[in-house]
Amino acid sequence: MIHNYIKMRLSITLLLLLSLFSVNMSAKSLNLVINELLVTNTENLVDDYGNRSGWIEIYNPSHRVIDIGGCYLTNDTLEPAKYKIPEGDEITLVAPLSHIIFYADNKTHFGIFHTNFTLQESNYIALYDRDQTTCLDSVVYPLPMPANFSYGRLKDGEPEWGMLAKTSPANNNAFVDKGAASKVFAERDPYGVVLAIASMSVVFLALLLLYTLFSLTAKFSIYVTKERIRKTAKGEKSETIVETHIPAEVYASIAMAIHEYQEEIHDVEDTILTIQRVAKTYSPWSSKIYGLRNFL
Amino acid sequence: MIQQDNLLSFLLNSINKIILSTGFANVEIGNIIMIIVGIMFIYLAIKKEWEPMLLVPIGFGMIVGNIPFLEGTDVGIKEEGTVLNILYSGVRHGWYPPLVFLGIGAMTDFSSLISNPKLLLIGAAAQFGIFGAYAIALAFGFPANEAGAIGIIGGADGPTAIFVTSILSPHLLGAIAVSAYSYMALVPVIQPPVMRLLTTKKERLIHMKKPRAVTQTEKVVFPIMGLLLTTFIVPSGLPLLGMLFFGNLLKESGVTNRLADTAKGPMIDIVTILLGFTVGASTQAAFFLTTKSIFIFMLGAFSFIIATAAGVMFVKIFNLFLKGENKINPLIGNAGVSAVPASARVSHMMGLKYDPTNYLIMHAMGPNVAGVIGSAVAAGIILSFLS
Repeated sequence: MIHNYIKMRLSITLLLLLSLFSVNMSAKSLNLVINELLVTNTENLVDDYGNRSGWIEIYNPSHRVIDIGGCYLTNDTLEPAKYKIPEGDEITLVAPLSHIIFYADNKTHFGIFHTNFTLQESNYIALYDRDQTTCLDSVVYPLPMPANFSYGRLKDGEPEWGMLAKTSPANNNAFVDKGAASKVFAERDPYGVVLAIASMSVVFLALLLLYTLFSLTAKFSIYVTKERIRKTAKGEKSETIVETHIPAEVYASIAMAIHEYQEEIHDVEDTILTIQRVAKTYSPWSSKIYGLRNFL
Repeated sequence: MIQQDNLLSFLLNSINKIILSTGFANVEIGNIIMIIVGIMFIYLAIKKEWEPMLLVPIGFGMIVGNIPFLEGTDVGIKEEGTVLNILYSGVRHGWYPPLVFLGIGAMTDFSSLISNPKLLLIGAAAQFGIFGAYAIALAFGFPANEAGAIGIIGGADGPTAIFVTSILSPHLLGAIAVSAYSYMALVPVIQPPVMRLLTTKKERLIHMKKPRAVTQTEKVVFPIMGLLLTTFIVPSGLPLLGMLFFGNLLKESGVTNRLADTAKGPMIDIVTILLGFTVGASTQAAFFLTTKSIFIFMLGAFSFIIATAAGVMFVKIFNLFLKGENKINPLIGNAGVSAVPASARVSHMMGLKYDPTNYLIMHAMGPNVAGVIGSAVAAGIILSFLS
């Protein structure tokens, strides 16, 4: 009977838990996206050598540092590993929620951030993971594109693309309002009812799960204890019971001590019976050891 | 003669400069009021013994924070790089609250909760105070992030309130921290009238079933399972819940007594001193004495009342589904707020008042520690919605 009960509760708990787990099996290995690009550059961003060229902005939407070194940039669907971003250099680390710029100028001799293709060659650009097969992100952009105008995500990392009102190399594509989440929430829930219902449901769910689990544990624990008692009754003496056996004299002494304490009965006036640890007053002056020589 | 004149004017200028830099030259009425409030806190702590561990550091911090000085002398808590500013960064960036939770975990015995897990639900019900106060703060015109920080006062958990406020509305830290800790000190004053109002004499006399003995294995499993279940649901509560359950595991494992002793002893004492003192020192009159602070105090009291009422009412409703000796005394409903152990003590004292043989303390500790978990979970949800 108790077995069935425990099984039923266990099944319910497992079901509840499983319903909460949403494992994204298709998660990409690196969380990097192509965020913005500019094809024709006549009066826009200038590289370290004073040249202007098309550029690609990569964005790290995660909250951890990601090394883009070893990944690939390409403008050819048939050649994913067209430009390998060199590895082992600190400058390929992309900080959380930050951007990194690559110049599509076909001048790799200028350094890590200069690709071996230009953006005019095709209307496709992709970022591949180190395994050369996992496409981290790709985009098909409209050509021809007006000079000095960029095509990008309307908000950093978000799916909608379009021509941007102003270019923003290595910056946010849209103005970010830090308190936006709470403002939007308050607009949609002006009386706090949604927050109250949603939050209380989650609080209850969390504690309900704990409750279910520990009710189950309690049943199991009681069951185990009963089993042990049953076995003990059959003649198997439990070690714990032997260990915890306290002689009657001890009970009598404790009872006597409490009685004396409560009734303030004192047979020896200068002695206090206590269960508290007592530190003896000790002084080096009264110690013989300090009076002895420390050498032979 | 000219040289003497120059020397004299230099001397007078120097004296003038010293006078202008003294507190007397820079004092404002607000500073005086806050210093008086600080002294009052210390008086209440010493004379009435209201949460002395908190009110003494906060009160003294208030006095320190309101000593007037010339700006730019690099002594103030708000001036970048000063000693007080560096100590205050633990509050501003939310480092202290998880450390306090580590100590709380190492101090807390979850046995009463494990032996009677349904008491967990009372801890959940009492969190309604947070959301009730949030709704009222919104109605008063507070923006959502400020309303969220004000609402968390209803969780009756100082560290949680500071943690949430440091993320949502750092500019309200002083007012919210002082409000939260003050009301925690006032739990014995605020809760009993609400409990009396919402319970009948018959309900107050309910004797609860004696809690069963809990095994060591159950005590060890609790922090691990508690962490997994709560943080998988609300990961944003991880700093608080992680440290709370870690501290408890140190206590219950039986093999890390030294670590547990440090967490619940010297460490929590150090953090409490720094936390209380710097929170008090951050209540500079210019930032603190505003109408907003008055509203925060009002709403804080209100959130405590709602939380207490929600806990008591939940037990009454819960009792409709329970039979005989399983019934719960609604006087432990107030303990669902996480003011440990003050609110459990209130339940116990109220129980004894109506029946001198009814000892509720062990039963009340269940919802009380559940309240700690509940308020940390609620804080996580508020952060995930509003930050």
